[in-house]
Amino acid sequence: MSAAAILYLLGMGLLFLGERLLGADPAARGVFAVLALAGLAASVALRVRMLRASSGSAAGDVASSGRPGDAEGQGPGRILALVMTLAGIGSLAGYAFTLPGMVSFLGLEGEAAGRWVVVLSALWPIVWLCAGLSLLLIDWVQMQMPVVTQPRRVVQAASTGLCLALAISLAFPVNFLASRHSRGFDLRGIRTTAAGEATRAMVEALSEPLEVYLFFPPANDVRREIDPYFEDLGRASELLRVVHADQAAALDLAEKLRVSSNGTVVLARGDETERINLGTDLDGARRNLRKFDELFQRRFLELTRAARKVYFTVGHEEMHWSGIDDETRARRISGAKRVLEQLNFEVAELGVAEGLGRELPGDAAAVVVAGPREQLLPEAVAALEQYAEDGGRILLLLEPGEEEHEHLAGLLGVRFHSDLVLNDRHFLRRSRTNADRSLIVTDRFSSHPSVSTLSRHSSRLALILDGTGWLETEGGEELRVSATVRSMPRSWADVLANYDFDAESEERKTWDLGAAVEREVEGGTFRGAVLANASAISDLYLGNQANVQWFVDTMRWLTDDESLSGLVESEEDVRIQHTRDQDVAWFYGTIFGVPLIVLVGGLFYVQRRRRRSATC
Amino acid sequence: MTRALTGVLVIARRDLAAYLNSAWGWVMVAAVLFVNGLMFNAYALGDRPRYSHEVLELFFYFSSGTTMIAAVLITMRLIAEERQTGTDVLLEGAPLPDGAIVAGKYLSAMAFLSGLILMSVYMPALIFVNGKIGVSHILAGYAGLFALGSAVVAIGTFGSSLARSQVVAAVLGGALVVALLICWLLARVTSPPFAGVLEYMSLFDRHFRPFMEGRIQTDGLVYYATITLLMLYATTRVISWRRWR
Repeated sequence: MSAAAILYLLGMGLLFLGERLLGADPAARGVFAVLALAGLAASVALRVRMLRASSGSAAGDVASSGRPGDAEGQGPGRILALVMTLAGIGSLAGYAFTLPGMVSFLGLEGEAAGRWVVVLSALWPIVWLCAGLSLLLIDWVQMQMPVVTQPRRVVQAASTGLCLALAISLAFPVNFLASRHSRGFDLRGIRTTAAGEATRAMVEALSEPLEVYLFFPPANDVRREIDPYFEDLGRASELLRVVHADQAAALDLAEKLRVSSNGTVVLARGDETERINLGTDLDGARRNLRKFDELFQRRFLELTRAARKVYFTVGHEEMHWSGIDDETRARRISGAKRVLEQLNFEVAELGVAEGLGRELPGDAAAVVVAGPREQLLPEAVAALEQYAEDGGRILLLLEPGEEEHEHLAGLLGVRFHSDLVLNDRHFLRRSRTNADRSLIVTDRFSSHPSVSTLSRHSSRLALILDGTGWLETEGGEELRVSATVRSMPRSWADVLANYDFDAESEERKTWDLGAAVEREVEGGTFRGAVLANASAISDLYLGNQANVQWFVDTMRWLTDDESLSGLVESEEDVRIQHTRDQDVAWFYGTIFGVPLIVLVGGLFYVQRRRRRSATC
Repeated sequence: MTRALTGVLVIARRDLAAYLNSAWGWVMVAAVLFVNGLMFNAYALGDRPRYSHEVLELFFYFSSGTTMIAAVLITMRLIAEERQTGTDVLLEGAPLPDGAIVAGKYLSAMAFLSGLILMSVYMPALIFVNGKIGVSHILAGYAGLFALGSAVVAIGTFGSSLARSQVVAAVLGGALVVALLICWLLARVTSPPFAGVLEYMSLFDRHFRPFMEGRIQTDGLVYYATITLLMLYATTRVISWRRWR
């Protein structure tokens, strides 16, 4: 490469450094610009000098020997090189005219200024690239042929440079259009962020516009992860508007929405906002992305619905979120409380002091009686009766034990039996004794709205019930009772309490385990749900998706939100961990086994081919 | 046209046979599978529990590296070896258009690389034993590996056309690949609109990640196709330049 070409590249490099990397520091930018211009000027001066030398020596050589001199053969190439150098430097003028100062100097404003900048910004890099590539190839040809450069060779170098530059220039608009109109096909079998049925139902039910602002820098991994989620939701309702913004660029919007950093999702309805902080680092955001649907639902409900109160009765050895009896996780319901809070319910205790013995609080959206081990006081039952008469909502979770809660169950039109329902096929192993038969699973759900999601997905969702009793539905003229959850076929009620089936006194059949009740009352409808097992919502079993889905959908039905029922998407993927024994097999198999087979097979093939060739 | 196509196939078959009939080709396939297996066990599966999709993503992450290295090594001999051994005279004298020669060379390297990539399929398949992944996720990842491999093979072919020795060809091809790989780093320190352009030009970060995560983005496919065509076009110009001389 000639000195002129090196100076040209150096000048361009310095200009790029000054303008694009050190642009924030005016002093450094100025120094680099001066150095760059000096380099480019020197490059032009060298080119001119080389051209003059070729013209001068040509004249001298022809005069003395009558044939063109060495440098004369370089003449056409040097002229073209000078032209390309000047064109390259000239293209920088195009860049200069895109700078704000120059645009205002030209008196351009508004749309005209924008159009001017766009056209020039597209044009000058093309000229720069054409000139630069042609120049480098001409220079290379000249260095390869220092004595005489054939003019056709120079022309070929210039045309090659131009063709390559134009091909590269064409690649940019093609890719620009491709990125603008890019379509994504999500082929992940298991998605980390996908809008669930329930969320889609909520968005479909929107009656007022809702804006979702995604504050992320361009081309951010976390943004890429949640984009499909909102594209999906955006299709569910035209009232949901998704706005992408970069906190660093859209400062006014960020300030208005009180967003201090990127990585934030803001839900806005009028002046009210809710935010989800994910961060911009994918690894850090993964935890929240896995339950993003859940997080979005919660914020969405907080924004669109007023919080309602759900009361849990206390004082009769009911299950409690603080685990007061400290027995096992099977009696603690902190998970259930969290689920209700995510559904935008406030959760509170309801004891005698709060009115359980007189009149229930007027703000009770629902009352949950979770596994009482003691009989409820007659006054408490009377208060619940009155609450039902007034169109209240009651969830009754009963636990087999000494008490059969006749009055309480009667309130919901059912009769509760404490005999454990067992199954010797559909159960989970725990102690590897016959007692495990009481830890049953079931995927038998009716089409009632309180279990419709479970019914739709019964092929993959099964309720776990640890020691469940059974229900006898009674109903009445006014009380509509429907069985919602049934046991698997061939289950039996263990009347003899020996965990074995006794054909003489026990019967194998499908038993009613859960029911939903409705009754028209003055000024509304009373709704109730009952399950002959309380541990289904305990911390021990709420981790099972079917259990949590039953609880969520039942609460939604009780509080008239059944239209929002549906699966909540969460990552269903499973973690992989190997034991030491497995590791050995996997390690040697994948690291050495297959490559060795390929190597031996390949070498054998090569050897055979060679032998065959030698024989021929 | 038919003659050109026949020529493309003849060159592709000849070069592919050269890979398969040499011990070097098989050693490289075994070495790539060995490195992939090592990475899969040591990092993707690792020593702590990981979700299946994370394991698969890490597998494609490491496979992309070995695919790029393999592509550069496969292509370094394509044209440079012909010059090194003097057989380029035969090629340059062949009654075939420049494009047909380049296409034949590219297809042979691509066919060999495709075989190599497909041979690693037993590793993601192993995830099914204890994990839970979608077959479509695996297909998306492999689509990405083929697209990335195609772009790097084209870059390597271009590098091979510039050099006289295979080592220089590998260095040139490798340097071009590295330059495109680190575009995202440069994008971080430059200001818009250059930052956007540089970020888009990044060979891995912007375009391969979606494939790795099981998403096929059409702009990624267009990008890899553009790089492939651009590099093959540049290689054609180099061959044409050389044949003229």
